[in-house]
Amino acid sequence: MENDHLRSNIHQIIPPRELNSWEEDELVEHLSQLAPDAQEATFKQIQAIWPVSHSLCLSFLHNVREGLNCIPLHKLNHWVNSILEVYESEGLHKANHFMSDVNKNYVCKIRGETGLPLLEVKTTLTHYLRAISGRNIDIIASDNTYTDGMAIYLPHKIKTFKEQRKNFLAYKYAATFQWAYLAFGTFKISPEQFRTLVSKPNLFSSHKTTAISNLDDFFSLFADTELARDIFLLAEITRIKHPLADEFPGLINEVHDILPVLAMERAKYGQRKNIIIDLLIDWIFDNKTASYEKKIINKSFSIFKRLQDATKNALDSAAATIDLYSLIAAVDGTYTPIDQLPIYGHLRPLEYEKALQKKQDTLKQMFVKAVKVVLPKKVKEEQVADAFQNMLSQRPKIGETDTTLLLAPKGNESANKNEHHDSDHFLFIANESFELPDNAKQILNEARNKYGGVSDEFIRSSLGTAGHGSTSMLVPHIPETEFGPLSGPLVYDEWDHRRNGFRKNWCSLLEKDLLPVRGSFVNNTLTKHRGIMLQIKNRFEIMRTQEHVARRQRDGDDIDLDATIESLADMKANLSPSEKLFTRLVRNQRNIATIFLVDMSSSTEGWISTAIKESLILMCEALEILGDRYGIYGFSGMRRLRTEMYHIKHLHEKYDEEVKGKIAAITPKEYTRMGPPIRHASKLLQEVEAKVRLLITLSDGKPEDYDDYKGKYAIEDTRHALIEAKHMGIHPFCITIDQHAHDYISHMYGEINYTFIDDIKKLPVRMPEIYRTLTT
Amino acid sequence: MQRNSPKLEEYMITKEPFYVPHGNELSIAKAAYENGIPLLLKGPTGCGKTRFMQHLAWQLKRPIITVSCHDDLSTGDLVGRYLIKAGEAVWIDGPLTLAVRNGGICYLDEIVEARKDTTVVIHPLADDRRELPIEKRNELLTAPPEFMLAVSYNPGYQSVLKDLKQSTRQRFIAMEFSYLNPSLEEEIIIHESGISKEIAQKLVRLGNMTRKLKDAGLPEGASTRLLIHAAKLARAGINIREACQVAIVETLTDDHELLDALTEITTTIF
Repeated sequence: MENDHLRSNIHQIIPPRELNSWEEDELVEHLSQLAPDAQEATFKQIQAIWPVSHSLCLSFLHNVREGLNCIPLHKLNHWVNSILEVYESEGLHKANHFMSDVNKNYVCKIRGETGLPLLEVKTTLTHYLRAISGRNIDIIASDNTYTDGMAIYLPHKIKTFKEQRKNFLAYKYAATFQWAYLAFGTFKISPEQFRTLVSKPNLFSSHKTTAISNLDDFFSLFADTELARDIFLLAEITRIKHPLADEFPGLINEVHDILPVLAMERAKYGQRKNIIIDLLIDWIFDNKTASYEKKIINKSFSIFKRLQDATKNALDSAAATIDLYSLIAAVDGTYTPIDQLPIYGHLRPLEYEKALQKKQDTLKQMFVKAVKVVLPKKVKEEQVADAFQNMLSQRPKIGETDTTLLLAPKGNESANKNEHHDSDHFLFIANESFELPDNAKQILNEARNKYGGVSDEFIRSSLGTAGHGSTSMLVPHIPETEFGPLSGPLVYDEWDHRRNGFRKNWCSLLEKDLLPVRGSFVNNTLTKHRGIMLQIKNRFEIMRTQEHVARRQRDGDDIDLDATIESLADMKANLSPSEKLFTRLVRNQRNIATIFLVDMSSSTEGWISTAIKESLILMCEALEILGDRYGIYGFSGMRRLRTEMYHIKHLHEKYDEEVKGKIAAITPKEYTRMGPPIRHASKLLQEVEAKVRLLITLSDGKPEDYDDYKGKYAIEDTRHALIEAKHMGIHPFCITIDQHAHDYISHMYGEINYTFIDDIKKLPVRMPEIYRTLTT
Repeated sequence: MQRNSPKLEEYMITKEPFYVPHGNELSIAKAAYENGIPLLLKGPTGCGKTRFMQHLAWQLKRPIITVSCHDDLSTGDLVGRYLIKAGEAVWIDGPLTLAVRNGGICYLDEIVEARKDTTVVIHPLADDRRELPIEKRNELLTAPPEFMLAVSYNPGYQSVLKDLKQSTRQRFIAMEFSYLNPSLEEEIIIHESGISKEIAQKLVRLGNMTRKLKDAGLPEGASTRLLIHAAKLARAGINIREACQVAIVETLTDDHELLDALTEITTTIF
């Protein structure tokens, strides 16, 4: 009897046709074991889960009894929300796992026992750092808290507090403070500044002070290097806390309560020599319980308090370090170094230098590569590299070396001032000047603004021989390969920006078929993204059924009142009245044809390739609902004679098992020569009758081939192929999967014709969404 | 046949609309006006395009008729139509005709939202002919020198369906409106909302931070308008964090990761 009641309740939520009889029996059995109030609460939750995922709902019912053994009934709703969150972000499998051990995965977590893993907050923190810094700073889990300038290293987990919010705040404050070291110039004391500082008092022997170039050298001047290092760290924290409180008062207020607790995390050593340092640490953690106002340390505090001033910089901290060191060194006993502080971590000047050097080297290589095209052969790469390095470190004066990079202000010849905010850049080699290519200028700017030393511009007028480069030098020698021009049905031209013209019949493109793979990939994808798929389907259905009432029709379902009145009025005004007096409900004729061009180069190996495949499956499912025409082609290849285009689905083809098999068969192959496939796809699109033609390229970054199809040449050819497509009335759009946005992308695709995805996992969700925005 | 049109005086702007120029835009617009060249204003939403037009109209002492374009906007909605009043057919001028006839400024806001067949009606008006044919009345209006046409659009929309045709755009002088520099934006927020300088400064900082997230997936950063909304709420006694949450954070995105990040930025600043 009771079971019948349950059955009818189930039917109210789940239509009987959706369930097999044995599934229904199972459900009833699970539910009947619950207490009546628990049953009621569970029914409520089923209403929430069932529409999201049927399988999730069934496994929830499997687990709910056990779950309710561990959590109180009023927490059920929260538990279900957590399950849904896991499901939506990580899929069914993870959600099942999450449900299976309520105690470990949920109860402990809400008690805060297991702490907050960095993994959970990494994305939020990355966005947050990007917003406050304006550049991408990686967040990496590590045993130590520090920054090397390119990344911020934070602990794997913070479990100081029961409340997760406080643990999160600790992370946030730590990330902000590590960024602040960079932003407020902790590492930016120049060798000259150091030299002036240490030459003043007679503290250090003079032979040591000459070789000083960074913080580590500075610390090694002291007898107790570690003590000096710790004092400097504390001085910097004291100094930085002050402007930080001005910039981010909200954050400082929030962490006010948690800082003293964090101070407890640190072990105190108790030696006499450590007292002052210990007290100072309590002070920077706002730990008011400590009685630091003792006479002996008043002087130390006054030294530190002087640093609380917006005009102070890292050099002042170094000076304070010298002062305080002499005070503490006079105390008896041994000093035990701090090791590391929670939140504030420690400073690693060496790692900072290394990372900076690495970044500069990468930029240098990119720069040399970019400049090479405009230089005569006799100029060696090393010369250019040296000039670049010298410019960054601000060492040379003009005339000292053969090769100099000049950053000269734009002269009067500038015709369009709005287009050239930046100064012009020249490379001087043996009294001959060369204007830098655009991408080289970009690299130079990035290097100077973000990773360089103090930026002072060399002024061009100081050199008599300045001027524009001889034009003959600007056209480089193009080595012709052993192959002559091609002929055949699928031969395409290639754009050479250096000669400002096409290389005729330069590339050959082979159309190939992908062999479909039979397997579970498609089904797995659909199961994995079931929740998302439902949402996407809903949204696309709305697009399909975008109906509108067409007014002023010759015939239709209803009378168009406006038109009728108008025509009456026209009649009165002795004009011939219109006969179009009806309204009719019409579905929007979408008439859109799209080709998806998929990068199958070797660099997509692994996650990227899988994500691309998954997103294509979701995309196809969504497009089937919409009824838009679409084709899918993959491309890869090697050298100009063998660009390959893999047919996955032609525009007119049906989305069937074979197409699914072909999508599953997408595997990374060779290189990315983007020009020919874009031109070919444009040609295919041009042959189709459609109001809107869309060419969507999915790629993981720069176009590049085995031969000299690289760098600017490749970018310019791709850009030109896209411009050609635009001229044919095709809208090109690119989805780029890359960890960092690059300037060249907007150059290649145009300011708004691309989107950039930094988290590959989001691609399957984003892609249909992008298509939707594009076409509505 | 009567002609019965709304009064143009109602569109006169009598009080100076607050506007802080950030470049040479006012003199360019005036020069364009004197030479009968129409204006195209580009830029993200909420950065002052409409306010600029109002200010320009006030300076030129001309009435301004603003039409917010939408995809159901027909040519008749712009030009005018016959209506029946007391059994008689009465012609009612549309906003465009009204402006042409009386030498006013017609401002078509978000012109890409209108269907392309509607926007072609402005073509003869936007080139040196400066004519508006009214087919129904068999009338050809020539715009007086006082008439000005201005349109605006946001090039940031990625939809391929919402792009301006070359034949349309090449009739205009185009001016780009972008986010203001911090001190100007601060001044505007203070003026519009009456909030303290300190909060205005922080709001500007918040706005700039959201704009840096554009590459990270946010479709557009917070506009000055949103910052002003937040300031007004705060002025009305709402807690500033809450004001930012509802006026800025929640309006910008639905993506929960970005929402989290934006919330954290807000709590960092306030």
